[in-house]
Amino acid sequence: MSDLLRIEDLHTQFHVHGGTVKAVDGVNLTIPARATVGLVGESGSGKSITALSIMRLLEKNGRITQGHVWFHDRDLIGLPDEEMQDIRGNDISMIFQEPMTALNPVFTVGDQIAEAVRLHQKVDHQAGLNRAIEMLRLVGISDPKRRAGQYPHELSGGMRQRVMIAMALSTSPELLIADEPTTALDVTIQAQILKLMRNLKGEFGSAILLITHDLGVVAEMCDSVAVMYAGRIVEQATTEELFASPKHPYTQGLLASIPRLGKKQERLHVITGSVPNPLAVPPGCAFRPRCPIKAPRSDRDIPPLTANGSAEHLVACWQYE
Amino acid sequence: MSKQKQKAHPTVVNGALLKVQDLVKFFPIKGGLLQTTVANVKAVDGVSFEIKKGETLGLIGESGSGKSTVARTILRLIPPTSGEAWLEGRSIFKAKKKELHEIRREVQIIFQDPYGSLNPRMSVGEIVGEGLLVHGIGSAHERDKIVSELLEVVGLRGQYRGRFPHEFSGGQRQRIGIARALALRPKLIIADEPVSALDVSIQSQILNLLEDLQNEFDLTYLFVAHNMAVVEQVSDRIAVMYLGKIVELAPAEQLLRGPRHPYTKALISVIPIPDPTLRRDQTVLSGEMPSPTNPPSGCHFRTRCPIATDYCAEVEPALREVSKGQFAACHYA
Amino acid sequence: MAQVPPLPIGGATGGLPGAGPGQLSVETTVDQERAIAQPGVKADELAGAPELGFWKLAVIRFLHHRVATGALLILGVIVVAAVVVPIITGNLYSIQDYRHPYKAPFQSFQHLLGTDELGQDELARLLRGARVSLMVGILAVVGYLIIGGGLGALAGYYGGWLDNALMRFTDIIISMPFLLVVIAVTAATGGVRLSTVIIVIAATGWFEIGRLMRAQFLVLREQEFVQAARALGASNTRIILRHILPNALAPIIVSATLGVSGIILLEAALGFLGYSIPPPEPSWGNMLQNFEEYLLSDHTYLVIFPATALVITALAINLVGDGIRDALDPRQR
Repeated sequence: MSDLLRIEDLHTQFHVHGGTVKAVDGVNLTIPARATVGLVGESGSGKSITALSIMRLLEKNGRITQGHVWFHDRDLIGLPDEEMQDIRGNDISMIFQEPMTALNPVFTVGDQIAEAVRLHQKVDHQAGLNRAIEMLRLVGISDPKRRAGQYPHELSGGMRQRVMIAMALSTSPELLIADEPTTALDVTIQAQILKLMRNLKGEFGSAILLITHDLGVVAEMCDSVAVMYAGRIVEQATTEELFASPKHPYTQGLLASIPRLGKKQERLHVITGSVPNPLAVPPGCAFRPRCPIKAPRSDRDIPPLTANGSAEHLVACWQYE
Repeated sequence: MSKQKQKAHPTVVNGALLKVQDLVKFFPIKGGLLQTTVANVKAVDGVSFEIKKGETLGLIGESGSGKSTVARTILRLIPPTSGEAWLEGRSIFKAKKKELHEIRREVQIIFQDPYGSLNPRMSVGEIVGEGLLVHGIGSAHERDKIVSELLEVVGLRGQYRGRFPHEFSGGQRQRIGIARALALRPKLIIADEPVSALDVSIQSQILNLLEDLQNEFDLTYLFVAHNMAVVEQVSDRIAVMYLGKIVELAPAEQLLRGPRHPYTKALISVIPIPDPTLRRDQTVLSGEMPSPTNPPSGCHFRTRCPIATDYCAEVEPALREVSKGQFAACHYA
Repeated sequence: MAQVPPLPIGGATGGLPGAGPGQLSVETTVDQERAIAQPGVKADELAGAPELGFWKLAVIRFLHHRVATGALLILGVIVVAAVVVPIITGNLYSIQDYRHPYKAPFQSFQHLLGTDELGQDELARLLRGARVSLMVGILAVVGYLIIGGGLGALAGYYGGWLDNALMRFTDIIISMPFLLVVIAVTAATGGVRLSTVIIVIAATGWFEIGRLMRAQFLVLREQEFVQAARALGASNTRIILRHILPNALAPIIVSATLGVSGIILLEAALGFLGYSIPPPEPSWGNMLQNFEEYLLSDHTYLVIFPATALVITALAINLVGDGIRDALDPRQR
């Protein structure tokens, strides 16, 4: 499999009152063509900022200070705004957690999808609208013609997320970035959307970068997975490998602390300590204060993400040195 | 969870701490010039259950199932449309102002949103101590002491009394909310999605804390949530709600191992499990929950049910005992 | 500065069984994303924060607000001068010095700010006029707050038919032509009187604050911290005064302070039309009555002085209002 997207040493910082937050602090990640890669982390780990950095959709106070994002042979970071706009929504699409805020309330969903198509393809509005109806049918919306004429507020949450997916896929992007796409949805609706994403992936052949906090969703959807903590990737492996033998203490703690269906535990495992203040991340390994192992060197040097066991299992922890 | 519960059979309930009978809550939709009721949102449509002392009953359902409405109606935070609820034999819904005041000492609530559930303009000490103040317990000095102790009990420092909610993280705020609920030494705590706004690692801390407190203070929980794995972790018995009704009620393990209602079966089958080697047959339900304004005739679930028949549209299934201690509202369970 | 990182939690335990310090003291923050958007000071800086009441802290926060404190000082000087000086100088403001009409300002200590067309001392009239302007402004806004605040709070808190009735009443008030009411009331009560002016302004202008108050109450009464207080057994009075009002005040205060300056200007306009306090009693309004004449003459100071006084006072009041609003927010440290 060839690499579709390659993130190299990405640093994204936010200038805020009180200092600089290194939201993304040296992330390396490769997304092969047609693969589904999971990016897991808790709030504030930098997983969403990584996605927004790829799309170059950062807020005004955020800046990519270092690194490259190679998409095929082009570095998205240095690209002129116009060329980036051309890639956005065309070659790389994104869907968000809350579909209501991502849709414009004053246009029908059909018109919005048609516009998204027309931004990147030279077709007239009718052709765009036809494409929109076609897409709505593909994402499993019954009576797509009627639905295309409806406004976002007339649709349920699950339906809106289907519309977002339809819009994102309407240009057949090579990469779909999905930022917590099912977090706002109920379990039975989540199941529908996940199933839809799996099916559409087969149909469109897009690679997916799935950002989530839910390890269950990762296990179900992803080929490989990267775990983020305090702006860095601490572990990366194929999904089966990561769940079968997690190597980073954070990953281990995370996997142990979730309640498992049908396996009631006497007491849930707990990760001690607290997430570092984003303005005062400790030197060395950011996880050290909460780490049960506290390997030597971790108080001074940041552990690099290195192969451990196999070439595909990467861990950033000094204990394996 | 606690020892005494494990001994008692969870469905043979004598002298239940809380008993809810045929609880109905309709929210009227007003319309027209004269603001008359044009329709009703049937949020809770005939719910009955009991909770034994020391037990944890999990109440699970998707948004719109009516689970939070049940929780708030029991506390009379919203008035019930009909039905009855008793706390140790005393009617909650018929209670006069003074009796209600007393009942509220014994039933407390923990909320989902760690941001919205604490008054941003009150110090932590005032928030946790409010119940004591309102019920005239202790002098100001004694109350301060109790508040400090409560904060320590939930894993915060007593000195944090003078601080304001915004100075704390989400998990810490949830602890403050728990301390507030504990202040009056209630018998029953209604926890309304207490961990769903929290990160995974915080979730386990709060769940452990709730278990510790149950043992320490002899608490009974009504634990309302949408996450089955979380509910299973804390509950002795689980009630599954769909569109205003309980569709299945059983001891936790029994429900997870052998669900009888098709909705419960589907619900359990689609919960993502953090184990990529596990290959399950998923029952992905089509469609969405119908509007509670106009629920389907007969069985509320029949529009999405994989095994529904014409009979389901005509006759509403009652919640009946399908095996020992396990109740399901399905003709074919 | 809004978001403060989580506090470091020490090994505080409540002596719970099976809960070591490590297990209870764990904390992670869920508001890191917010912290990134708006991080705050280091938690340690707050460690020594003394335990003070909400209102004391509010006063401290206000005094830390330099602009607001300065504005308050200026306002204080104006109010004291307006109250005290006319008492000392007696009827100086109405003594007509026929020998010195239109005396230019800063020429003598006898008439520091000069005299008007009747030879009345401009400084004495300004200070005397401040009484009228400030009294009208402040009393009418107090009227706004009592009528609008009260009705808005009732409508928002209790809702239902009361809300409907009060809102329709508000619509009627809004649609009343203010000037016609002033003229009609003036005619009916036999002449221009200051009390009439205040009452008419208060009775016709409260709706903005009323609507604001209602909107605030509607939102806040559904907040979980209000539900929590109700569950603790807090009375409606306590919920309104302690939980809703402090959180509703910010926009009300801004609106009220804008109201004071607006009313002072309104009184000036009424004075200009001859429907406010009649001469020889001065108000900033009637001092500006002949402004277009003065503006084109050599006596521009007769416009500049009352206009400047008006602007400075209005500005000071607005700045004080902003300061109070910020001071009531505990997130502003």
